[in-house]
Amino acid sequence: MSIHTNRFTPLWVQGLAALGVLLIAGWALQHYGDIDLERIRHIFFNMEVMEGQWGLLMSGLWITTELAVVSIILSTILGLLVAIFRIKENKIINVLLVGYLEFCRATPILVALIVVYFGLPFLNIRFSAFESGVIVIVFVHAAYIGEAFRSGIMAIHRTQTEASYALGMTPRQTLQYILVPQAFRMVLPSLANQWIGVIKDTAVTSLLAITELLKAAQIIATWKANPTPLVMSTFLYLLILIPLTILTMKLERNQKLTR
Amino acid sequence: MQQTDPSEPILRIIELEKFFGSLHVLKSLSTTIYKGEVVSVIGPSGGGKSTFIRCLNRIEEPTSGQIYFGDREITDRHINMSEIRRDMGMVFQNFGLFPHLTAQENVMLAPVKVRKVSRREAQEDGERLLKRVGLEDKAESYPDQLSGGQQQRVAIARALAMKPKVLFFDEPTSALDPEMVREVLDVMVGLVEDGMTMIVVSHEMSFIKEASSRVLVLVDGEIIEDGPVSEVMSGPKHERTKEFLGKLL
Repeated sequence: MSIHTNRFTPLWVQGLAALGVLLIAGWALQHYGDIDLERIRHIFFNMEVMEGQWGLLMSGLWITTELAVVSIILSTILGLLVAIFRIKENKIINVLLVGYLEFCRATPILVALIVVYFGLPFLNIRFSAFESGVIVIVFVHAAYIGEAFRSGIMAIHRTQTEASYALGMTPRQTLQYILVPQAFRMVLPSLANQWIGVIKDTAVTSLLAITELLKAAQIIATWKANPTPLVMSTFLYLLILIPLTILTMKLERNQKLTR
Repeated sequence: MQQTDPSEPILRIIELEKFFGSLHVLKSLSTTIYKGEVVSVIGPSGGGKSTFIRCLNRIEEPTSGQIYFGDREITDRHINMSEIRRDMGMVFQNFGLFPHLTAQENVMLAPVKVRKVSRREAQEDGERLLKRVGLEDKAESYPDQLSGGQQQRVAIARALAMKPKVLFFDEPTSALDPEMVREVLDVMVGLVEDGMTMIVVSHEMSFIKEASSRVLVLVDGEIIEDGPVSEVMSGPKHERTKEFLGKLL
């Protein structure tokens, strides 16, 4: 499958690029900001500020992880269902689903979140902050994941379906045992990318009454009047995202070799 | 070789028609296939052979006409084709093995999921069938680890695992390298000797002459010749048959 090959850049090139960006940023700060390194350390990497605050940050990390895991599982399941309904090619369902997809494409996730959390209570529909976050993230990402699955299923050669039918398997069995398992393998790299997107999008829930990672960092930063906790939170996001990114790259490379 | 049984028609095809848009691919085909017969369908490419055989299990939807499988009309709109297809095996030109399953799993899947036989029984049956096609040592291999000829033999074992009453072969050796054709044909000849009822779209003269009992010549969507192999080969009635056989030999 050549769709994914462009996205693959060797790890060392990516590392060099990241280092380059850091160097340029450092140089720019030195040059224009008249800022010495000690000040930078004091503002952004001030470990005294973090003293006694790691607990709150870690509980934030835990809530972010919970949000991410629940959202990833649900959006993947919903996405698969969307894809299955899409390929059934029922005109009415398809129009509805395309509408849903376009809606998700056009709506900023932050707006959707505000509507669900602050808007729906006017209809006496109330969701907790956690629930609102999951609902919005799942709703939006399932659309994209659905498209990924659909393209995977569509890419499977027609002979697979014919061979399955010829053995007496029903359309449902064909989906379950033949098409979905193959599509899953095929779209796993783009799926993993989508999952990374889900994790990053959990940060929008910091707007609500939920102390996930970003919110926890904001609270400490405000309280201590120092942005170090925010910097630490970005490191914690990296901690979750880097293994997933590496996994994605491995999957893509694997796919390039075998397909 | 088992005698064909004229009292037991397996497939009756009556005025079968197929259009692709305005293209008239099959023109009122009628014929009957009896138990134990091995019918080779030959003819120039584009003549409708594949479409014909694919209509028989309705992988391709016939435009009109009737097909009876035993005494059931399978062209009936309300019939459950999945149930009918359990008893019809099909072998495709491009093998159609499931790439995410091993050879053994390919063979076992339909018996377990469709026939609901126990995994244990399916396992034993699968091993026996892979042995029969000479691939007992490839049970754990995935399709992309097998040669074309091996894949096609697994595909035949997979079709046999459902214990079909009739087997359709749609150009089973056309996608194979020449040195692999023989191993597949040998398996097919073995099936003929066991008395399997078979309909085979093929260009393999050796198989047609040695193994088939009857030949259908399909040209421009019409059956222009239908008779025992020796008759059609030695004294074709139709000019187009002579022309076609001349090119083939």
